[in-house]
Amino acid sequence: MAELYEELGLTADEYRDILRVLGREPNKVELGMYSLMWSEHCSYKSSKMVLSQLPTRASYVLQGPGENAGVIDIGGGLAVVFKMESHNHPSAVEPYQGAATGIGGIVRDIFTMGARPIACLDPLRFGDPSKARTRYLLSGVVAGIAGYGNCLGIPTVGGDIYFEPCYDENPLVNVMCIGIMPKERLTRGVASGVGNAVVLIGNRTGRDGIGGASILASQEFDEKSQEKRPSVQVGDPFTEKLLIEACLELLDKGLLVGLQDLGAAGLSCACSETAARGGVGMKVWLERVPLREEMEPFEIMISESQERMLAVVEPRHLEEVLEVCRRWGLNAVVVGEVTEGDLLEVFWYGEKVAEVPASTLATGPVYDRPAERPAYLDEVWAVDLESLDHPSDYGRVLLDLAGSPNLCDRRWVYEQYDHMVQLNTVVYPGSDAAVLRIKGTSKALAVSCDGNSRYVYLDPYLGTQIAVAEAARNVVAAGGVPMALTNCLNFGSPERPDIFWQFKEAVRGLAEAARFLELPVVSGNVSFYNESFGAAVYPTPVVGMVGLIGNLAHRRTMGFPGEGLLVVLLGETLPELGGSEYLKVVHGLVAGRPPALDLDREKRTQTTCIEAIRRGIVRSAHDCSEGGLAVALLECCCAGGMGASLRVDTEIAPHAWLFSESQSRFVVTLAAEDLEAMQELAGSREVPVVVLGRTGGDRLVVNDWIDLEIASMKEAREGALERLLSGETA
Amino acid sequence: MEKKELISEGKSKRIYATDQPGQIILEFKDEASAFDGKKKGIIPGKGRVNARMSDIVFRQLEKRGIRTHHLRLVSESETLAWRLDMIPIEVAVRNYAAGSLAERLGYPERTELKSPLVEFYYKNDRLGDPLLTREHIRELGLAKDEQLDEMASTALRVNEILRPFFEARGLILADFKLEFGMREGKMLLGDEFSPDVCRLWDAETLEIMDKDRFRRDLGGVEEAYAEVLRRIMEEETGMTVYVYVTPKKGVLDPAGQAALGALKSLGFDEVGDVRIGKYIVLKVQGVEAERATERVREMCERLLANPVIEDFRVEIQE
Amino acid sequence: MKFGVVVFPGSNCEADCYYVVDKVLREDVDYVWHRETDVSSYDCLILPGGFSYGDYLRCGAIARFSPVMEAVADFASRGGLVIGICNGFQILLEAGLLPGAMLRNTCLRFICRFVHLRVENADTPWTNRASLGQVLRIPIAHNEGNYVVDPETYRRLEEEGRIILRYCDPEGEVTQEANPNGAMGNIAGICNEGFNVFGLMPHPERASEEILGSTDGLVIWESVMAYNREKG
Repeated sequence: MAELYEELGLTADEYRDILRVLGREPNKVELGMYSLMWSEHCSYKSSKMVLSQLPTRASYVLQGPGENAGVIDIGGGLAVVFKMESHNHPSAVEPYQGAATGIGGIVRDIFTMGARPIACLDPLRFGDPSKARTRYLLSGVVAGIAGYGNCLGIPTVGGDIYFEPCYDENPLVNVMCIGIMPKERLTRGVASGVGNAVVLIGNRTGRDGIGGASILASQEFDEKSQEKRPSVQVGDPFTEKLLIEACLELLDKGLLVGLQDLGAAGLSCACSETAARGGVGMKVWLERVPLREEMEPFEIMISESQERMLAVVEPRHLEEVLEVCRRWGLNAVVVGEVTEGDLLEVFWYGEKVAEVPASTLATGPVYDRPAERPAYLDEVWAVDLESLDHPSDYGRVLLDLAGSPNLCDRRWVYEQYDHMVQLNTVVYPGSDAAVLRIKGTSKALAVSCDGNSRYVYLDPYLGTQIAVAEAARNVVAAGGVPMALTNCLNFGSPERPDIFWQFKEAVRGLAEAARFLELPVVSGNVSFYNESFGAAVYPTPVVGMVGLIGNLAHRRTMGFPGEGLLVVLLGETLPELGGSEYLKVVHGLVAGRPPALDLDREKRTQTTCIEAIRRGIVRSAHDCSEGGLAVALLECCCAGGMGASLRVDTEIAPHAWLFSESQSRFVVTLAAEDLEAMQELAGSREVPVVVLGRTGGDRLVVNDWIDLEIASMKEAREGALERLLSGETA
Repeated sequence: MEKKELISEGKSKRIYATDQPGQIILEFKDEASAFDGKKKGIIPGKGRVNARMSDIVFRQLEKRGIRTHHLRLVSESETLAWRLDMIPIEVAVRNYAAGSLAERLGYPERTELKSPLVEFYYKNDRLGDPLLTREHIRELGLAKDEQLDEMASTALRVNEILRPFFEARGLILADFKLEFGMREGKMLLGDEFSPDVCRLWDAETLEIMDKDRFRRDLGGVEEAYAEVLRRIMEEETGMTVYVYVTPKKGVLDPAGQAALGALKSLGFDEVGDVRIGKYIVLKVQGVEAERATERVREMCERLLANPVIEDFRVEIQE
Repeated sequence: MKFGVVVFPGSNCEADCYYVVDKVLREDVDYVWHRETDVSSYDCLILPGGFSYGDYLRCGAIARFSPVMEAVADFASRGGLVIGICNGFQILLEAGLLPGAMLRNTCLRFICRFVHLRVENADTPWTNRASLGQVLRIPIAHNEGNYVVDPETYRRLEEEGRIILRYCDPEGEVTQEANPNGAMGNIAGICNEGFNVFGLMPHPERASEEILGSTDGLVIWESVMAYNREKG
């Protein structure tokens, strides 16, 4: 065994730890189990220490990190379950199946907790859109998400897409799922009750992804990745749909003690985690596992075949459980039993093939990796932005920005997703946040994802704070009160000190912003080793925010809703072009420092906006972000099919005023008679209120800087993505 | 080969003459009876299962040097066989005590016997198929001593072959009965081998998978028979049938058109047209090629292809 | 009026249809499991959207062999009202209760968006509350909605007024640009000869409440309810 461990990705120290834990040499099955469970992907060995600083508690948090997903109480006996995770490497190898099985995995995490999945959001990051590989990856990933999610009948209501060359070889496919349930259905992935049966439900086990997620996630990408194609898992959404219905029925009938999905490291992970959480042991009889092909015991233990669940069942409920599964046409087999102690014992036709303490599998090693501030920061901060030429035609620049890959209309993507099924989506994709009504109540959820990795690259700490602030701002613009967040942290190799410094700074920023804005982090995922040909992707933390709209009447969209309304800016515009879309599109630069963020001001601005919405003062609201105020105004015009005529009096240079990405700003509309009330509300919180002009007409006019027809603005942003992908502008 | 007049009808089979001298057709019925005909019923699909299983088991035995009357399967529920002069003795081999033997020896049901046990029964409905000793057989003149010896040793050999055969398929062969007959001076194994004439238990759950389900009203008889057949057929190599489903001529093929466009843009100018369809591979067992083609065409028409928009082509490889 | 929503393994719009009948129309409604063999107690059966049996072989190809489909065919042959929405329409086609078949959308992508539909026959159980030529705004969500049928049947459908809905632009013009999936003659919905069986790709249940952006789907539900009242 000693010669095998390195090949399986374990270090010499880790191998010594295994010897110490077992008091003997592990056999092949045991070594296979440890190698997967102690991989970065499953054990979080590099990130665990850093993540411990995240705030995870609030009075309404029913379940924080450590389970399959986080859970919050939204009142009225209802709980909301959500989580985000990554499926980057599988998607790089095979985009359709990689993305599809990503959806499958995150959806299982949600219904495992007892919730019916009600929506998915998918933050995606791709390389240069003019490259053929990017187009191949993007169309494959989007089709995979659609193919799987649509079949399940779970609407995909949001997400975001950014293009940066750093993702050329290593795209990021993050997936978030939200579910809802009666509070009492909350179920945990815990095994308990000595003598209880362990039932494997769902697809047969095959050699899918033997070592898949874990091996893939632990190695850098290179040209050999083509050869890895066969080990990629293939998704079966039909079986997953049956699993959802069967599991929810089992939970409704109160027939299960615990429920756990099988993901990375397959049975090894599901058995050891449930046993460790319950403080019990488990016996598993591998010959009972329904197989698709002949397999060795170690392969069965680590196979990552999809659409499988592990249920812990009291003997008196066993027959009924098997009957429900049969009715849904699902395999269900008793493969094990809960035992006293903490040993995970694995048998193969009567022979014991593994015996390890479950808790030692589930809690792997912990590392405090060295971190060192990377040198590139000084370089990018030193770029002199002042000396850059100013544009002469602001209208042209605005149209260029509106049609640029990162800002153009996403219809081509979200129209491939069924975003309406379940009849809850009351604000469709394309807005700041998706809004999902909760039938039978007057409430709704506002959900949004955010993560501008260019900011994080330029300043990991500040950039990550902005990601939190902006995700919250999106929720506020939709009329919701942000409640809690999930996240997916996509970074390069943690073994590189410069990368690990980025990671530590980003988590510090995440923790501080979340703590200050009182947003508990209830779930999340870390994906390391996102590199290709030795270069890391931009550090990319992605934040998924869930907010509550107490009254459906308070939901807002960005579109200008009528004529003659005042267009008002809440917040202050500063000449902050560092890291902006303007710099990238006009000057081809990724440089400077991201816009400043004052968390206190952010909080005051958000409270002002939400309060003004509640009082019915604000008619429409839009968060000001990439592309600055000008792009925000263009989006308000296009979404509402309504123009605006604006006069601006400012000391700032026009291009800076138009395209600066200053934080803590909203563009809102209100009736003239409500202005005083607005000023009063904002004044008491020291939030600037700037009246820009009035809505009306079919053009956007700003001073003598910009004068554009809505039709030409729409033309610039709509269809731009499709044009990019068809290679027209390549 | 043509089916001719009915020669005889038993509880579970009809025997027909054929136009080939010395060959008969055994038609397996769905009717079931037990306790010497006192209990009767229908097990849907039983005839099919028994014919198919007899075919598989007899072929398996032939391969291992046991001479049988079996020739081949001629339809779903009929086999072709040599006509034998039957010896009116049923030879039972028991690995476990079950049913009458358990009663007779006072063993609990399902006791494993020290070694396989051979018994002879008189095939006589009027007398209720009684147990016979060698002396009884000599007295009745049913068979010669050498014949009895040959029957007993063949039966034990059959047990040696079939016990592991079923075990590998998750089934315990608890007991079975055989019948023998003479053709041209040689003794051949006759009759059938099916869940009607043996006891099979699931190796894991010990669930009863044979006619005892019917005898004892356990329900799920049909399913048990089908399950036994399924397990046995798994490794049976039959033929492979390839089905090609393509969009009908004249029906727009959006996927084909897209691929054509992409190929052109990659510089494959020689491509004139692309049609994208489906390719389906089926494993088919226990039927002749001609019949298989016919059946697969039917599958295509009913399910695998949509005749409104799709054409199909069937290829067979034995 | 009593509706039955048929549930196949893999259906995913059954809860939406149930919700609309129950909470919006406030009529009686049951789920009908695909193994049921008696549907005689219903006035109208809804075959909902989804991916029955994963739609792995061909949309609707396997669902049509479900035990319930024999009962549905029998129900329809006695004049029972049957509406197939999206995957339900595909199942009706596979079952031969409606003529024709579905190909993939010409763009080869799944499309989910609002489309405009022109009412081509307002004298049916499904459209009697609409006016001829009325334009409805209702969403579609499918990958295979590219309807084809042989020319002879197409001519008959047209002559007999069995083409009920066609894709059109917001002004009601039936144009190539307004055709989202390549369907022959912009067909979005058709009826059988007796007009009691209706199949359509758009989802009227997704356009039955103001908060979802359109109530144009209600005209279909209200029509069938009116028809049932008058008949009853």
